[in-house]
Amino acid sequence: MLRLIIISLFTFTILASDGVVLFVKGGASIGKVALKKGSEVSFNSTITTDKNSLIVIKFTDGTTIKVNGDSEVFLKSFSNGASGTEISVRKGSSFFNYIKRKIVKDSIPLRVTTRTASMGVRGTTFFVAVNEIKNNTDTWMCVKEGIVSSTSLSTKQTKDVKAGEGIKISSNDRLTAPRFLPWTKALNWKLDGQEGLENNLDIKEAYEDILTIDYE
Amino acid sequence: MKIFLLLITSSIALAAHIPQGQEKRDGNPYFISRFFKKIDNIHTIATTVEYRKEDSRNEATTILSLRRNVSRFVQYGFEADFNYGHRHDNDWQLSSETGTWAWKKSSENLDFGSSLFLKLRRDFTLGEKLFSASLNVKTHNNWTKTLLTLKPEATITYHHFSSGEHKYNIYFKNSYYIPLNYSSEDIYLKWYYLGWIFNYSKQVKPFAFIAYKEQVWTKSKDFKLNHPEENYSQESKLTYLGIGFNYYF
Repeated sequence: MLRLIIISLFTFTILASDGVVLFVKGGASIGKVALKKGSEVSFNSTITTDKNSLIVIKFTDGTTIKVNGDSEVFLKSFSNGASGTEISVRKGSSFFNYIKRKIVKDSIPLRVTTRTASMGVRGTTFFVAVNEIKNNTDTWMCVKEGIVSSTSLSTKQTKDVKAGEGIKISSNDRLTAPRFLPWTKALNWKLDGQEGLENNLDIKEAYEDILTIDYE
Repeated sequence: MKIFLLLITSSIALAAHIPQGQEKRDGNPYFISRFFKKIDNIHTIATTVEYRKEDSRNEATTILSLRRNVSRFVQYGFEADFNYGHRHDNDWQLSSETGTWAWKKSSENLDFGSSLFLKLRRDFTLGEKLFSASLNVKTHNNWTKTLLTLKPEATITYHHFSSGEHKYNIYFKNSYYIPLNYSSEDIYLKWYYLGWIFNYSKQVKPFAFIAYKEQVWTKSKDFKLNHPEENYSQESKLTYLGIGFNYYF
């Protein structure tokens, strides 16, 4: 009987998924396994997307993530209440929508990391992009709803980014002050449905800092 | 009748050594091209070539500058400039051959100068409208004529975005030339610009502008020698219609 219980639990653990794919366009995979609509996704795995592709995944905790094309996202650890969920954007860009839950007071239920930044989230919709420029990694984050607490891993500075604001976290520079970034208006924040989910904004093209451009 | 003729004659004699008339032509053409090359994330080289009509005269300027960004908010740099056709106070001259007073042909003027500048800048938003403002303080030395000038310049720019795309800028710029070792005026020259820059691409940004300039020429060296007790100031008030482009390599 005990053996049966152990086998049942083991089987359940293997089969239990942390999220399900809602939408795929183009190519998206975990390792060599191609993902399609309805595929189950577990943590401790890396999702990669091809160019001009995208994938939308909804996790059991209510978090929805839209991974844009030419991106790599590591689903590091999944929260079951006590510890936070951690997702790492290693390449490209992703949209996140985290629905606030009332499970653990004062905890940060979702943490998104990149090579240069750690972002603590308490119920919000936000966007994270990673840009590799020569020997420097820039992380761009902007918030549509809620507040995201952003920390630079190199300088340890932390700043709260509010709705409508964005921030740059560079591997070789100070954290920029959160400010309104007009170009983020062109981001496609849509996360549900089966149409019109594509994000056509090229971050490298769209980004500009008006103060560092000389107009005279 | 004799008294009347005497008055006219003396008035003509008086006027002969004082510049008469005023430059106040509207719609003078003005062209500016600027080329920017980023050396790295901090340093930029910029070259500016300008031409404008000054009433009946022609002026041209070429500026080469090296800029260093200390931060998003602070930039400083060095500029070297070559100027053609600029009129100076001392160009009001007495001809030793004819004994008459006249402006020296400004087409004979070729000046070399250099500047150091410090630019402070800031961006701010009003709702979702994005603005930037800058204050540029420049010290200019005209090495050819040994003229020292302080040039503060303030600019405010509205950056228009549509659907997240930077479409155009509208700017207002105001600069003053404060003479440090010449002129009897506190402000020798004032510029006002109102312009529109079209963000056609990251490389090319054409622009159009209107400008207004007020300039005052005061006693020249010849005049001080020959008429030490007298004084004059001649004003030039010109408006300009300008076009140009910025090119970013």
